[in-house]
Amino acid sequence: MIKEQGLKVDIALPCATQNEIGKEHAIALVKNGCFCIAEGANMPSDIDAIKVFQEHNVLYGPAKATNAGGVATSGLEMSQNSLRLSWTREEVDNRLLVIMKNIHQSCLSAAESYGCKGDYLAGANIAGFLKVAKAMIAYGVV
Amino acid sequence: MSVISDVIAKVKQKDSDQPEFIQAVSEVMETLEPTEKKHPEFVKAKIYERIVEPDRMIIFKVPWVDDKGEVQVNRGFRVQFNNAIGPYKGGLRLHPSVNLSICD
Repeated sequence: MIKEQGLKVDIALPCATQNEIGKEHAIALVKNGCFCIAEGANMPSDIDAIKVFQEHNVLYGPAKATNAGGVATSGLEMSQNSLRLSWTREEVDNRLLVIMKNIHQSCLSAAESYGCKGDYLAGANIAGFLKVAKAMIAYGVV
Repeated sequence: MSVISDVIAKVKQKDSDQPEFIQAVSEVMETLEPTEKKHPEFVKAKIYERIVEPDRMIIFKVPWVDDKGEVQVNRGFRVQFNNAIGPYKGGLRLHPSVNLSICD
């Protein structure tokens, strides 16, 4: 974990496990020039670390959005199985790109419509919640 | 007291032995405040209360033989949280630190 002073960082991709980055680590990252965090694990930054990123206008990509590629690709695998088809690497990659772009757009628009423009964390949580909540309403009490 | 803060308080009480689950619920729920006012239908259908409860949790035995031919046994966890928008999904983690709270 980066605690050393002066080790220059542009982009941090915490990809191991939960609560890797706490407040002190976040401060060290910001001090060392980090302008972008994209999470690749479940809950790698704790809430104090996220506050540090937001206060310093670091571009913060929350795991729910940035780490969705794995689950999305697993979904694409299920689609191929059901279709009895095998897509090329490029076909899968193109579909994944569309999915990730849509996720980004959903985060942006949800944040804007619910009064927290530019807040990717709130946007990702709200967009994800709305999708599930609306489906749950449609199903009824099950 | 808002429905959301009530839900967070209840999870803290009910699942007091699961710090990571409480952390995940709190962090998400706090950012969902703006949805509560805009969607009275969610409040009426108790969506906030229902969405923090997993559909089911499966805890199972994993017996295996290591490279030295020794029989080992571990405990496995699978939490099927919500399938309203599609199949249950998630990664596989093999690690001594895994517990129900983390899978949740």
